[in-house]
Amino acid sequence: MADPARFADLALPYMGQLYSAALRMTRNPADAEDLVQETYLRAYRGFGGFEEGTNLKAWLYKILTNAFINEYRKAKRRPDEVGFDDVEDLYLYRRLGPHEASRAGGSPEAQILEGIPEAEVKEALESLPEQFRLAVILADVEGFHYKEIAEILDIPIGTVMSRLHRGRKLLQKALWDFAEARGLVPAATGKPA
Amino acid sequence: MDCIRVSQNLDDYLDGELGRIRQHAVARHLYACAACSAGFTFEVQVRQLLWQKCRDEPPEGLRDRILEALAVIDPTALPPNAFPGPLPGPFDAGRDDGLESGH
Repeated sequence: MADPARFADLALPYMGQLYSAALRMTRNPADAEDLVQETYLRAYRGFGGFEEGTNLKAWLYKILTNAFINEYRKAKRRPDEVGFDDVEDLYLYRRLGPHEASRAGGSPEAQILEGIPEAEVKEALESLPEQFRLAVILADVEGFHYKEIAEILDIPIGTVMSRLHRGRKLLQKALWDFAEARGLVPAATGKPA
Repeated sequence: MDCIRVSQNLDDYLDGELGRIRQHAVARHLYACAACSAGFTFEVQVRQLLWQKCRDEPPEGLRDRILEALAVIDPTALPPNAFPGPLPGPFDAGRDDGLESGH
Protein backbone atom coordinates (compact mmCIF):
# COMPACT_ATOMS: atom_id res chain seq x y z
CA MET A 1 0.00 0.00 0.00
CA ALA A 2 1.24 3.49 -0.80
CA ASP A 3 2.29 5.29 2.36
CA PRO A 4 1.26 8.94 1.91
CA ALA A 5 3.79 10.36 4.37
CA ARG A 6 6.65 8.39 2.85
CA PHE A 7 5.64 9.42 -0.63
CA ALA A 8 5.59 13.08 0.39
CA ASP A 9 9.00 12.79 2.06
CA LEU A 10 10.63 11.16 -0.92
CA ALA A 11 8.91 12.84 -3.84
CA LEU A 12 8.08 16.38 -2.78
CA PRO A 13 11.70 17.57 -2.56
CA TYR A 14 11.73 17.39 -6.38
CA MET A 15 8.80 19.77 -6.68
CA GLY A 16 10.89 22.86 -7.43
CA GLN A 17 12.90 21.14 -10.13
CA LEU A 18 9.81 19.59 -11.66
CA TYR A 19 8.10 22.96 -11.66
CA SER A 20 11.02 24.62 -13.48
CA ALA A 21 11.01 21.88 -16.10
CA ALA A 22 7.22 22.06 -16.43
CA LEU A 23 7.43 25.80 -16.94
CA ARG A 24 9.98 25.40 -19.73
CA MET A 25 7.73 22.78 -21.33
CA THR A 26 4.40 24.58 -21.10
CA ARG A 27 5.78 28.17 -21.09
CA ASN A 28 2.89 29.07 -18.81
CA PRO A 29 2.91 29.21 -14.97
CA ALA A 30 -0.69 28.04 -14.49
CA ASP A 31 -0.24 25.10 -16.85
CA ALA A 32 3.09 24.27 -15.21
CA GLU A 33 1.42 24.11 -11.80
CA ASP A 34 -1.31 21.82 -13.12
CA LEU A 35 1.26 19.63 -14.81
CA VAL A 36 3.29 19.24 -11.62
CA GLN A 37 0.19 18.47 -9.59
CA GLU A 38 -0.91 15.89 -12.15
CA THR A 39 2.58 14.37 -12.04
CA TYR A 40 2.37 13.90 -8.29
CA LEU A 41 -1.11 12.40 -8.48
CA ARG A 42 0.03 9.88 -11.07
CA ALA A 43 3.21 9.15 -9.18
CA TYR A 44 1.30 8.56 -5.97
CA ARG A 45 -1.08 6.17 -7.66
CA GLY A 46 1.88 4.14 -8.79
CA PHE A 47 3.85 4.40 -5.59
CA GLY A 48 2.58 1.16 -4.03
CA GLY A 49 5.24 -0.90 -5.74
CA PHE A 50 8.08 1.49 -5.01
CA GLU A 51 11.31 -0.21 -4.04
CA GLU A 52 14.18 1.39 -2.18
CA GLY A 53 16.99 2.37 -4.49
CA THR A 54 14.89 2.97 -7.57
CA ASN A 55 15.69 6.19 -9.35
CA LEU A 56 12.67 8.14 -8.16
CA LYS A 57 13.80 11.40 -9.75
CA ALA A 58 14.03 9.88 -13.22
CA TRP A 59 10.70 8.19 -12.71
CA LEU A 60 9.03 11.47 -11.73
CA TYR A 61 10.46 13.12 -14.84
CA LYS A 62 9.17 10.30 -16.97
CA ILE A 63 5.69 10.85 -15.57
CA LEU A 64 6.00 14.61 -16.02
CA THR A 65 7.19 14.26 -19.61
CA ASN A 66 4.50 11.73 -20.48
CA ALA A 67 1.80 13.86 -18.94
CA PHE A 68 3.07 16.82 -20.94
CA ILE A 69 3.33 14.97 -24.24
CA ASN A 70 0.15 12.90 -23.97
CA GLU A 71 -2.27 15.10 -22.10
CA TYR A 72 -1.23 18.71 -22.07
CA ARG A 73 -0.05 18.88 -25.63
CA LYS A 74 -2.96 16.91 -26.99
CA ALA A 75 -5.14 19.85 -26.06
CA LYS A 76 -2.86 22.18 -27.99
CA ARG A 77 -1.66 21.72 -31.52
CA ARG A 78 0.77 19.11 -32.71
CA PRO A 79 4.40 19.73 -31.82
CA ASP A 80 6.43 21.70 -34.26
CA GLU A 81 8.29 19.15 -36.30
CA VAL A 82 11.78 19.37 -37.66
CA GLY A 83 12.60 21.35 -40.78
CA PHE A 84 15.29 23.77 -39.83
CA ASP A 85 18.38 24.82 -41.58
CA ASP A 86 21.32 23.04 -40.15
CA VAL A 87 23.24 24.97 -37.56
CA GLU A 88 26.98 24.54 -37.40
CA ASP A 89 28.92 23.33 -34.37
CA LEU A 90 30.05 26.02 -31.92
CA TYR A 91 27.57 28.35 -33.58
CA LEU A 92 27.56 31.10 -30.98
CA TYR A 93 31.26 30.93 -30.29
CA ARG A 94 32.15 31.30 -33.95
CA ARG A 95 29.89 34.33 -34.27
CA LEU A 96 31.33 35.98 -31.22
CA GLY A 97 34.88 35.69 -32.55
CA PRO A 98 37.61 36.64 -33.41
CA HIS A 99 39.29 35.14 -30.43
CA GLU A 100 42.63 35.34 -28.89
CA ALA A 101 43.45 31.88 -27.72
CA SER A 102 43.65 31.10 -24.01
CA ARG A 103 43.17 34.63 -22.82
CA ALA A 104 43.21 34.70 -19.07
CA GLY A 105 40.18 35.87 -17.15
CA GLY A 106 36.88 36.92 -18.66
CA SER A 107 36.99 36.63 -22.43
CA PRO A 108 34.69 38.96 -24.44
CA GLU A 109 32.55 35.95 -25.39
CA ALA A 110 32.11 35.03 -21.76
CA GLN A 111 31.19 38.59 -20.90
CA ILE A 112 28.52 38.63 -23.60
CA LEU A 113 27.09 35.40 -22.20
CA GLU A 114 27.07 36.88 -18.73
CA GLY A 115 25.21 39.89 -20.08
CA ILE A 116 22.25 37.83 -21.28
CA PRO A 117 19.56 38.16 -18.59
CA GLU A 118 17.93 35.15 -17.00
CA ALA A 119 14.57 35.84 -18.64
CA GLU A 120 16.13 35.69 -22.08
CA VAL A 121 18.06 32.52 -21.43
CA LYS A 122 14.76 30.93 -20.42
CA GLU A 123 13.05 32.36 -23.47
CA ALA A 124 15.79 31.02 -25.73
CA LEU A 125 15.31 27.56 -24.25
CA GLU A 126 11.54 27.81 -24.54
CA SER A 127 11.84 28.85 -28.18
CA LEU A 128 13.27 25.45 -29.16
CA PRO A 129 10.94 23.02 -30.90
CA GLU A 130 9.54 20.61 -28.37
CA GLN A 131 11.54 17.47 -29.09
CA PHE A 132 14.82 19.36 -28.83
CA ARG A 133 13.68 21.39 -25.87
CA LEU A 134 12.80 18.31 -23.82
CA ALA A 135 16.20 16.75 -24.48
CA VAL A 136 18.08 19.93 -23.56
CA ILE A 137 16.03 20.49 -20.38
CA LEU A 138 16.65 16.93 -19.21
CA ALA A 139 20.38 17.00 -19.97
CA ASP A 140 21.52 20.53 -19.32
CA VAL A 141 19.12 21.80 -16.68
CA GLU A 142 18.33 18.54 -14.88
CA GLY A 143 21.62 16.75 -15.37
CA PHE A 144 20.33 13.39 -16.59
CA HIS A 145 22.59 11.01 -18.50
CA TYR A 146 21.81 9.97 -22.09
CA LYS A 147 20.59 6.59 -20.94
CA GLU A 148 18.20 8.08 -18.44
CA ILE A 149 16.87 10.54 -21.02
CA ALA A 150 16.32 7.62 -23.38
CA GLU A 151 14.22 5.93 -20.67
CA ILE A 152 12.34 9.08 -19.78
CA LEU A 153 11.47 9.98 -23.37
CA ASP A 154 11.20 6.37 -24.51
CA ILE A 155 13.51 6.87 -27.47
CA PRO A 156 16.81 5.21 -28.48
CA ILE A 157 20.06 6.67 -27.15
CA GLY A 158 21.13 7.62 -30.67
CA THR A 159 18.01 9.75 -30.95
CA VAL A 160 18.76 11.36 -27.59
CA MET A 161 22.21 12.29 -28.84
CA SER A 162 21.02 13.76 -32.11
CA ARG A 163 18.20 15.74 -30.48
CA LEU A 164 20.55 17.03 -27.85
CA HIS A 165 23.18 17.97 -30.37
CA ARG A 166 20.67 19.74 -32.57
CA GLY A 167 18.87 21.34 -29.65
CA ARG A 168 22.03 22.82 -28.21
CA LYS A 169 22.99 24.30 -31.55
CA LEU A 170 19.53 25.80 -31.99
CA LEU A 171 19.79 27.19 -28.49
CA GLN A 172 23.06 28.89 -29.34
CA LYS A 173 21.42 30.39 -32.38
CA ALA A 174 18.55 31.69 -30.23
CA LEU A 175 21.01 33.16 -27.73
CA TRP A 176 22.88 34.80 -30.56
CA ASP A 177 19.66 36.33 -31.90
CA PHE A 178 18.95 37.75 -28.45
CA ALA A 179 22.46 39.08 -28.01
CA GLU A 180 22.29 40.69 -31.41
CA ALA A 181 18.81 42.16 -30.85
CA ARG A 182 19.89 43.65 -27.55
CA GLY A 183 22.96 45.21 -29.08
CA LEU A 184 25.31 43.09 -27.02
CA VAL A 185 27.19 42.55 -30.25
CA PRO A 186 27.41 44.93 -33.21
CA ALA A 187 24.60 43.77 -35.48
CA ALA A 188 26.27 44.62 -38.79
CA THR A 189 29.28 42.36 -38.60
CA GLY A 190 28.33 40.25 -35.68
CA LYS A 191 31.80 40.66 -34.36
CA PRO A 192 32.97 42.73 -31.46
CA ALA A 193 34.80 45.87 -32.52
CA MET B 1 41.94 13.54 -33.76
CA ASP B 2 41.72 16.76 -35.80
CA CYS B 3 39.90 20.01 -34.97
CA ILE B 4 36.78 19.15 -36.97
CA ARG B 5 36.35 15.75 -35.32
CA VAL B 6 36.94 17.33 -31.94
CA SER B 7 34.23 19.93 -32.46
CA GLN B 8 31.85 17.18 -33.60
CA ASN B 9 32.58 15.19 -30.46
CA LEU B 10 32.64 18.08 -28.03
CA ASP B 11 29.06 17.62 -26.84
CA ASP B 12 29.52 13.96 -25.99
CA TYR B 13 32.89 14.74 -24.47
CA LEU B 14 31.37 17.36 -22.16
CA ASP B 15 28.59 14.96 -21.27
CA GLY B 16 31.16 12.32 -20.36
CA GLU B 17 29.48 9.99 -22.83
CA LEU B 18 32.35 9.24 -25.22
CA GLY B 19 34.08 5.94 -24.89
CA ARG B 20 37.35 6.01 -22.97
CA ILE B 21 39.55 5.97 -26.03
CA ARG B 22 37.80 8.84 -27.77
CA GLN B 23 37.45 10.73 -24.52
CA HIS B 24 41.20 10.52 -24.16
CA ALA B 25 41.83 11.53 -27.79
CA VAL B 26 39.67 14.64 -27.40
CA ALA B 27 41.36 15.54 -24.12
CA ARG B 28 44.78 15.24 -25.74
CA HIS B 29 43.74 17.45 -28.62
CA LEU B 30 42.25 20.08 -26.31
CA TYR B 31 45.43 20.11 -24.31
CA ALA B 32 47.51 20.78 -27.39
CA CYS B 33 45.20 23.04 -29.43
CA ALA B 34 44.55 26.50 -28.07
CA ALA B 35 41.75 27.26 -30.56
CA CYS B 36 39.74 24.14 -29.68
CA SER B 37 40.46 24.64 -26.03
CA ALA B 38 38.97 28.14 -26.18
CA GLY B 39 35.89 26.74 -27.95
CA PHE B 40 35.62 24.07 -25.30
CA THR B 41 35.75 26.67 -22.52
CA PHE B 42 33.00 28.60 -24.22
CA GLU B 43 30.77 25.54 -24.48
CA VAL B 44 31.25 24.96 -20.78
CA GLN B 45 30.15 28.54 -20.14
CA VAL B 46 27.02 28.13 -22.26
CA ARG B 47 26.11 25.08 -20.20
CA GLN B 48 26.70 26.93 -16.97
CA LEU B 49 24.41 29.64 -18.26
CA LEU B 50 21.60 27.12 -18.76
CA TRP B 51 22.31 25.38 -15.51
CA GLN B 52 22.24 28.61 -13.53
CA LYS B 53 19.65 30.71 -15.32
CA CYS B 54 16.78 28.31 -15.98
CA ARG B 55 15.49 27.76 -12.46
CA ASP B 56 12.23 29.02 -11.08
CA GLU B 57 10.78 29.00 -7.61
CA PRO B 58 7.49 27.15 -7.54
CA PRO B 59 4.57 29.37 -6.57
CA GLU B 60 3.70 29.50 -2.93
CA GLY B 61 0.89 27.16 -2.15
CA LEU B 62 1.72 24.57 -4.80
CA ARG B 63 3.02 22.18 -2.21
CA ASP B 64 -0.17 22.49 -0.19
CA ARG B 65 -2.29 22.10 -3.27
CA ILE B 66 -0.51 18.88 -4.10
CA LEU B 67 -0.80 17.55 -0.56
CA GLU B 68 -4.51 18.35 -0.53
CA ALA B 69 -5.02 16.59 -3.85
CA LEU B 70 -3.12 13.55 -2.57
CA ALA B 71 -5.11 13.47 0.66
CA VAL B 72 -8.30 12.88 -1.32
CA ILE B 73 -6.92 9.63 -2.72
CA ASP B 74 -7.55 6.56 -0.60
CA PRO B 75 -4.20 4.75 -0.43
CA THR B 76 -5.89 1.37 0.22
CA ALA B 77 -7.69 1.71 -3.11
CA LEU B 78 -4.45 1.97 -5.08
CA PRO B 79 -2.96 -0.94 -7.02
CA PRO B 80 -0.14 -2.49 -5.00
CA ASN B 81 2.36 -2.79 -7.81
CA ALA B 82 1.92 -0.04 -10.32
CA PHE B 83 5.38 1.41 -9.78
CA PRO B 84 7.57 0.26 -12.65
CA GLY B 85 10.19 -0.96 -10.21
CA PRO B 86 13.87 -1.00 -11.00
CA LEU B 87 14.36 -0.26 -14.66
CA PRO B 88 17.50 -1.22 -16.57
CA GLY B 89 20.54 0.98 -16.71
CA PRO B 90 20.84 4.14 -14.70
CA PHE B 91 17.41 3.56 -13.21
CA ASP B 92 18.88 0.70 -11.18
CA ALA B 93 19.58 0.85 -7.51
CA GLY B 94 22.83 2.53 -6.66
CA ARG B 95 23.08 4.41 -9.92
CA ASP B 96 21.63 7.60 -8.57
CA ASP B 97 25.09 8.84 -7.65
CA GLY B 98 25.82 10.57 -10.92
CA LEU B 99 22.74 12.73 -10.66
CA GLU B 100 22.49 16.18 -9.29
CA SER B 101 19.57 15.91 -6.96
CA GLY B 102 19.87 19.48 -5.84
CA HIS B 103 21.39 22.71 -6.98
